[in-house]
Amino acid sequence: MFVRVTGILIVVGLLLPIGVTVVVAFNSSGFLLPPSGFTLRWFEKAVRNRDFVQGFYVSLAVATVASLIATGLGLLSAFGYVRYSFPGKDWVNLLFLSPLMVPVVVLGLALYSYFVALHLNDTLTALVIGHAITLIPLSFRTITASLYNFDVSMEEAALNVGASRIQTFAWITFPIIKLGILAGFILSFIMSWNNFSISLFLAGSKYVPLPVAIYSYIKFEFDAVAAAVSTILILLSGVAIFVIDRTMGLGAVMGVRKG
Amino acid sequence: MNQTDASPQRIRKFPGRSPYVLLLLPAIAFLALFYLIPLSWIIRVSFYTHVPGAYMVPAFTAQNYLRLVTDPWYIRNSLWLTLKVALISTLASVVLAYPPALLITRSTGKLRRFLLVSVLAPLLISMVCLIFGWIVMFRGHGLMNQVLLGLHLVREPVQWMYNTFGVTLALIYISIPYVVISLLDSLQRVDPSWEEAARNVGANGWQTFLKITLPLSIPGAVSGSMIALTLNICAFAVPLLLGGEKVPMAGLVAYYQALEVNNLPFGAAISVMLLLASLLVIFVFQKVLHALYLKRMEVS
Repeated sequence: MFVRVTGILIVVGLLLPIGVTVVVAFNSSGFLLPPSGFTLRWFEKAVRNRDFVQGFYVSLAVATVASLIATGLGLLSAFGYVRYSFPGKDWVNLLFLSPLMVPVVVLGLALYSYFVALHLNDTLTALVIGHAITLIPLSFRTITASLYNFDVSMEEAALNVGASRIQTFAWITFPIIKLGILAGFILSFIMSWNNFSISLFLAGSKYVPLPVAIYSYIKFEFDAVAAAVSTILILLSGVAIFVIDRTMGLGAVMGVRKG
Repeated sequence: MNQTDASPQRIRKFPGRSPYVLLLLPAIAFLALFYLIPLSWIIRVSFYTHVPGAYMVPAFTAQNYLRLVTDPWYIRNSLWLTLKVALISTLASVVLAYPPALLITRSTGKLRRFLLVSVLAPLLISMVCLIFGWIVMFRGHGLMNQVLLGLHLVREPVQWMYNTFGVTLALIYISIPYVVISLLDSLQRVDPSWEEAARNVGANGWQTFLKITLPLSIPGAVSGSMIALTLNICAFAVPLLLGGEKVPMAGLVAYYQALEVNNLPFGAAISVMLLLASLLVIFVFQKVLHALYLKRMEVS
């Protein structure tokens, strides 16, 4: 009983800040709660703000390209990693997963100073590369997991009846692991879409992703417009959570074993 | 990471030369160029000197590190503060992660899935949105104070934010989902018949938890604390959004020094220290975990 009550309270507490933001975004009296009426006024104001509109497109572009890079590299390396035995395999695994272990402030600072030295700071390229680095472990992990749950004898059968390796991949392997690839791509996309810390280091004044735009906005102005923009971010996260949960299961993708 | 040990029959070699090199090379090259080199570069920069007005000057000096460990302001206000906040928030997040983890372990079907998704959702929502919602709730006249004042639990609005207390609370909030993932891993291995056996011989819920469930979940708690502690020692976004300069945790000072003061070498030195601190945490906790598993193997 105690566990049930405190457990539910904590779960509610975890969701509360998210819920409150969404309520405020549609509330005609903004921060004044309880809500007094439904309005889209804050969203109208948000889409009239140039920083937010630009931020939306920057985030969309960066998330798309960075997660495509990460998924591509993750797919290739997951194949090499799962299907072959070679010396130094553990080190390769450590290399691919280590961007998750390096503190974001260290990675952000390292990339920032590196891109300054390369004269690449305040470019979309810098944002895309920085995001891709943080996404590679996620796509590698997800695609590796779906390759391990895969019966290799099906590939062997295809090869035995004369299919080429590319045909085998296209007809046998890909259809089976495509859900894993999709889940990995969506996870990467949403992690890039949400990324704040790395973006803050790499965004200058020209290309500012949406989360950083919200931060710059609430530094000076704290109103329900920021809640509306946050809600747009949350909405996309909600879609991603739903799709990932339906395809591979959110728990499995985030590293929770089946109970 | 248990999946890295592939059973031998799963690994099969395609005929021909070793295509694994071709498959792995693009990712390794990308990581080398934009990850390993930048990390090495920041270590090198941490030995540079900062000359006001001249960005930075190549050198080989330990003065940035010495400043960090000899300047009393940094020791007291930043390093000590960071350690204190990180330890408290890690401990609290482990304690608070137990109830939802137990709840998820004990539930099945749709309810389990719903609870799991609810707990993991914050991991897929932007830190800025989470903290924004947090500010809305804990502002001077925010929801939390309205409720507390309404219930006459406090006389004046509580100062929840822009202080160490507020940053600690938010770090706990951010860490809980990570710890729940680790705890679930251990809790799901606990055979329910053991808990049942304890109840059958007359133990109540608390006794069963303390004697059976808790000891068996220690590995999960240890790996969860490891993740939370590395996150919290290096926290930078939460103190930036919630504390500003009033809560100068080390990660935030690194950011300010590098991007606002333009003293990149000093910022680099702080972040190298943070990198070393988190590697130390990972190393020590891995040793503890290893010892725990060895002990368990002896027992069984």
